[in-house]
Amino acid sequence: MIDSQRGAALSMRMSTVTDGHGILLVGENAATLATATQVLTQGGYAVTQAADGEAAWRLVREQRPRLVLLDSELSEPGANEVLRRIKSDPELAGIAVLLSTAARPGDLRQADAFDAGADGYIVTPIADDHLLGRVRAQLRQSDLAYQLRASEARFRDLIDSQADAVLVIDDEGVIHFANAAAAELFDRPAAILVGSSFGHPIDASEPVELEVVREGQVLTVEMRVAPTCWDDARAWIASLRDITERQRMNERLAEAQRIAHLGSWEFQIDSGHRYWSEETFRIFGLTPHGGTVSDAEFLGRVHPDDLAVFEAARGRALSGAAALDLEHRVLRPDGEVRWVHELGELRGDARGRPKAISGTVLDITERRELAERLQQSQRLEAVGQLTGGVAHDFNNLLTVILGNAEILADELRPAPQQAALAEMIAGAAQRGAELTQRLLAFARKQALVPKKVDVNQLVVGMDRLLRRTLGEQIEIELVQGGGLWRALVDPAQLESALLNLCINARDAMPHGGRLTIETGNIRLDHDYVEHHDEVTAGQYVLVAVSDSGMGIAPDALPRVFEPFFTTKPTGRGTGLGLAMVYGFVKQSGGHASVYSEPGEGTTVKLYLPRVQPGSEADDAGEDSDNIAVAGGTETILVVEDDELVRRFARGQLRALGYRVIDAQDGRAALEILRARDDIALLFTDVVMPGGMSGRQLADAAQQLRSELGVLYTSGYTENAIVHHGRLDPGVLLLPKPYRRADLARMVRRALAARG
Amino acid sequence: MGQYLLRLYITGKSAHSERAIANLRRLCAEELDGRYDIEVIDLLEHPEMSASERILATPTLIKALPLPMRRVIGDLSDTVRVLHGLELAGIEPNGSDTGAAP
Repeated sequence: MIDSQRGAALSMRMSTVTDGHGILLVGENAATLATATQVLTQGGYAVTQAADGEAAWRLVREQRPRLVLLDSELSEPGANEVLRRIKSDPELAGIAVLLSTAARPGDLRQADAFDAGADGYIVTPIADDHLLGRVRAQLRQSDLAYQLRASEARFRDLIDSQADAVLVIDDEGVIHFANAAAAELFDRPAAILVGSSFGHPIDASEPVELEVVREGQVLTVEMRVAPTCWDDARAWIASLRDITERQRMNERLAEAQRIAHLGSWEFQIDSGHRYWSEETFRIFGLTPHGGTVSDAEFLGRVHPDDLAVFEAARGRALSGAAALDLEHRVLRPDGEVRWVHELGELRGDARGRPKAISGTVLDITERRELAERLQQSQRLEAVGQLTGGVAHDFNNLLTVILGNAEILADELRPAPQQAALAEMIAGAAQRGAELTQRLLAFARKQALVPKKVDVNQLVVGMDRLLRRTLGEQIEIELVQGGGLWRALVDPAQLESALLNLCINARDAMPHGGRLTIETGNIRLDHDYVEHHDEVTAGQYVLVAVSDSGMGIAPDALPRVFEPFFTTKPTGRGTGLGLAMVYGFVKQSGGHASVYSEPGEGTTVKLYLPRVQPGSEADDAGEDSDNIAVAGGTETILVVEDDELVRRFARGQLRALGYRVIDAQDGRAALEILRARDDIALLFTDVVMPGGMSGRQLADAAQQLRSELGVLYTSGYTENAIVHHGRLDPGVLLLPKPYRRADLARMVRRALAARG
Repeated sequence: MGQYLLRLYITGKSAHSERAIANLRRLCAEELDGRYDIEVIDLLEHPEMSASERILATPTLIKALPLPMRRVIGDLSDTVRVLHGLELAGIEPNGSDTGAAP
């Protein structure tokens, strides 16, 4: 806008000279005018005449002649007045004025004429060719002066139309020239800037960043300096560009990258240089320095184990075969390892030749850790389901083997050698049963009977057992937390878990050492919960078992809770100890963790749920464990889908003196119940095919016969009778496999509990 | 030769402000042999100084003493040119060697 106005002004000034009406002759002597007119017309000029000063002044303004030949002998207004008017009007700049005088040069009035601005004079009379020569010379000189002015105006316009502020500064730092943009940048008129001290600008090859301080505002500018000459002295041209907005955008971009942990980079193929954003430097653990990094410096930060994969991926990207899309590790100078995800695309130059790869690098360490933990807990869950299913079926088999072996042993008493064989079978089956029990514990499918437990008391109670188990080479220290909350947990299983941990500790200290069992109250906060799966924040009772043994290697640590994972020599461990402890604690609503330093020792921490003050958690009942092994004569309905197990149970119960009727599923059992009224006890499996579970059968049966006793059995406790791993109040369960004594005892309890 | 008094005007803690301060300290330590005082003035903290010294842009370094007063502008990274701009180049008998390692 401004530029086009300037352009219009410039072309207007030009027109005053080039398109003007040639020459204006001014004088009172008509004959002289006529002669001169004739000479100049013949010389090719357009000539106009004026007989007095006022007419001359009017014609000058109307016609804009290129040259005025003015007779000095005019009456009022005189020649000097006309001259003054012409020369003082900027609109008329460029019109040359020659005075003609009859006097000789050196005359005082001629000096006045020069002072008033005349461009020259001629002395009359004058020869025709002299007149023509003088006029030509004067017009040529005017043209030159005009061109010089026009040229200067063009350059000034160029400088003024610059968006960059331009200053000319002398060697002492004083400003000699400032363009319009400089006036705007420094918020003061150019006339005031000129003469101010700016400072000696350091002329560096690189642009220098400066701040310009204005009213309530700081602008960032980039200054470039070049040497020049001004008024014959050394000077500097400084151009200053406002980069405030650019810098603000850069800052915003850097801020966004920092928050997102997302860096950007560019790899120049020809030079092998990389341009990194600040966040990229941080991700690689380096201090930002100027933005460029050599490829060697970068490759030094790629984890050595991932280098080959990275180079291959980059090779594919460079060949245009595939965009770069790769996760790899970064080895920071301080040794920390981070995971990053790099994405990149090949960019070509104008002719399509590969020029660079531009890309991003995202720190995904936390995300990967989370995914790994999730994967780990999913794997544990999958193994748990598998294990639980196998253990369930296995229990049915063991029930038959164990029971029949016991019957055989009884019946073979007269033949001791054969009886010993049968007892060996029973013993092996019993060990198998213990194994499946542990599998179920890991699978979080064992029947737990949580009670209010004073963990300190429980640990003290185990003291003798532990000393016997661990031997004399291991020193045992108990550190009991004061004011310990009570834990809601199955005490028998907790004992078993602690024993397991102590045995692990012993095995980690083959040459002796120190075992510490520590108890305390602890609150797990939200921060802890966020970094561990399957944990809820809250109050827990902590039991920690620490040893001074060999520790666990870091890569083995995440897997120690997996079943069948063991660091012990082959044949020494089943790999089920910690898995069982873990499953038990999880099923109890607690949490377990392991800390280990190779060479220093290992600590396993069990976080057991605290009994909420005032809760009615059961610690009554369960006192009738001492009922003697006794039979009876009542009628018992046995419901069991597995024929082997059914036959076994029938045999056992008959051996105890009971009358036994059996059914293979719920529907058959209900028909029997409807048909007969002598049945005292329903002994049913929990999990059965045919659409009716043991629980549903029992509910239906008790509707028919409210006084009917119920005893459940299962190798696999399902939600049907166990809510969250706990028995429903009043429900009696005989876990498979069972010994005859257990069966006898539980049947009597169930009969005694009848309504 | 008397004491040098050098005033450095900066605006806030920008990277080039910090660089200018570091460059000035280094330059003085190397060239002025303990005969100097440095004042660093942050125009964000003392906006009135901007008007009184007519500072147009920062970093500006003013040699207040000895006279004549001289000022240079920039981050002062080029020692030779800074010395020239402050008219301190003459303090070494052989100006062209200024800043070169022995």
